[in-house]
Amino acid sequence: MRFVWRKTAFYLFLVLGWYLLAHSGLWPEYMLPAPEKVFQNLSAGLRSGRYLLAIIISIRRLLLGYLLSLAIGIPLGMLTGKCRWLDETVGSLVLGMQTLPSICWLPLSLLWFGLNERAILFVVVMGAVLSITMATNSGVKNVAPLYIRAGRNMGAKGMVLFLRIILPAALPSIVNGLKQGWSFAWRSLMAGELLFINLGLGYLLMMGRELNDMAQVIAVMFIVVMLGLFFDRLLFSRLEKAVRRRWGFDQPS
Amino acid sequence: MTEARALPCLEPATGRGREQEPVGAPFFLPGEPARAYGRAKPRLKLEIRDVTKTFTSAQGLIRALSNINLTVHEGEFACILGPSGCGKSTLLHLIAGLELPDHGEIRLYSSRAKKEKKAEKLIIFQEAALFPWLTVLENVLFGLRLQKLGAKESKERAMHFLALVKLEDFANCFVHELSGGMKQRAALARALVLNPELLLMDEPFAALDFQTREKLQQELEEIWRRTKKTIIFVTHNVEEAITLGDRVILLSGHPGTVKREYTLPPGRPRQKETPFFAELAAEIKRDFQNPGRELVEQVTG
Ligand SMILES: Nc1ncnc2c1ncn2[C@@H]1O[C@H](COP(=O)(O)OP(=O)(O)O)[C@@H](O)[C@H]1O
Ligand SMILES: [Mg+2]
Repeated sequence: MRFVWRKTAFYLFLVLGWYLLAHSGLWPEYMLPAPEKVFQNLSAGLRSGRYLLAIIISIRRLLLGYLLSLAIGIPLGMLTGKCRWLDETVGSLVLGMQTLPSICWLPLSLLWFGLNERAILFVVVMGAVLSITMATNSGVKNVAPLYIRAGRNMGAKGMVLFLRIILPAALPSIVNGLKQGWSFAWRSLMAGELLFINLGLGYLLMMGRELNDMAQVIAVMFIVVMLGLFFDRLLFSRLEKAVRRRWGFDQPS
Repeated sequence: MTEARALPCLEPATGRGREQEPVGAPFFLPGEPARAYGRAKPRLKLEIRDVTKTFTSAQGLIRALSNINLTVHEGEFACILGPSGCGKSTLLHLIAGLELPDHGEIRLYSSRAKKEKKAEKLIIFQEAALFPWLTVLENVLFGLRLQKLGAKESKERAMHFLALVKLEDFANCFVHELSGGMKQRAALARALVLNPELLLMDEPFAALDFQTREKLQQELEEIWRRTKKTIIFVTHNVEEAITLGDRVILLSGHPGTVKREYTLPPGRPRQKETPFFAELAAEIKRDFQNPGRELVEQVTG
């Protein structure tokens, strides 16, 4: 309870400070708009449907790219995790490419796909798929040998062993990868939308800059933060917590 | 190498009957029926002949087991005793078929039909090895599901064995909600439900506290009496071996060889407070700590 109070007080204080600074006249409004201006912009944008449309477009791209990443990354991670020579070849390539920020794929993507949705989808997929692959890979590789021994001892082998023991044993690590993959996908999408302007939230951000409308810039940034928090709290943190509890990593004390 | 030195208070390993009754209080409580083992001609269950196992590690070759010869009879409770690192777990893994010997033969005389060969030799590991993503009941059902048994029958059988290990009230708990002793009981149920020909136990009680260990030893003995399973029980604890075993097989390490076998008088439960128990424990401990002739020769020669 005290925790909640402290938090609320902190944010109130922050907004108050912002309010005072903005009204002090030290900076022009196009550099530091007052909080109430940002709020007006936010509510007007949401009511007119302009922001809502951008949100829908961005989320749609994100979901599409993320699902594609799952469809590619999980099987790829399993294969490289189980097969030694695939791990040494494809696995090492994936590991190497992880060091490349996904936005670096944009020029290549634009040349391959042109100025369209598929180009941005490609960047999102490149952002998410590698970390999902690597997490699945290491999860599968690091299953305790004891579980495999116990399963084989009871008669499990081949596909059954994989599906009934290796996969569930690797699940905590895979879930971790799903969460990380989501946040990479989200970042890649924003970067892509900023550079290659075609609707979406990133586009609104750039528009704000071009019109010198700082209130819009901050309002859209606020939306981006809120959406990120929403998915993280509502989906991934819960999923992670459920898995960790069931697997007995978090013992209630 | 099996040493054939006779002990006054012990049956020789060949099992021809005791030459001398133990002195003092009886070793076991009267009233419990003596088991068939050692009396009627027992049937052979497991035969290990000249088994050798070598591992390749970063330091080079490690010979874990050398020339192991061992037989176990049907319904027998055989205890394998030895210091840690002497190859006890390796031996169990070989018997279970989880690894293959470099050399030698391991033969199980099974009463099962060919197509039921799955899961005839089940291991219970020191760390229980229950699957944390399943409930206790689902863990026990795991092997049955692999055998494609009907759902209802599987569940009935699983619940029966959970009741046998006194865990019926914990069927829907998750593994991490169980204590160490309860985990081992669940592992026991998970193995027994598959009706194995051979139950292999790898220091199952080593990580438990003293009271839990004693309790589980009693329960295991009781379950063994009721299910008539053949058990090979690995331990590094001398008292545990004498309490549970029909026979104690002492291994020495580096490489693991059979050093000596002790056939214990029938009749249970064993009484720890008798002079016989203490004498036997002391004798085994002496043998346990003696490096053994082979090893001494190696060191000095
Ligand atoms: N997979 C393995 N690879 C290399 N060495 C092993 C392996 N398993 C066991 N060993 C070695 O074999 C010896 C016997 O091990 P183990 O059977 O686990 O002994 P115990 O169960 O009696 O403690 C040890 O020296 C151990 O280091
Ligand atoms: Mg061991």
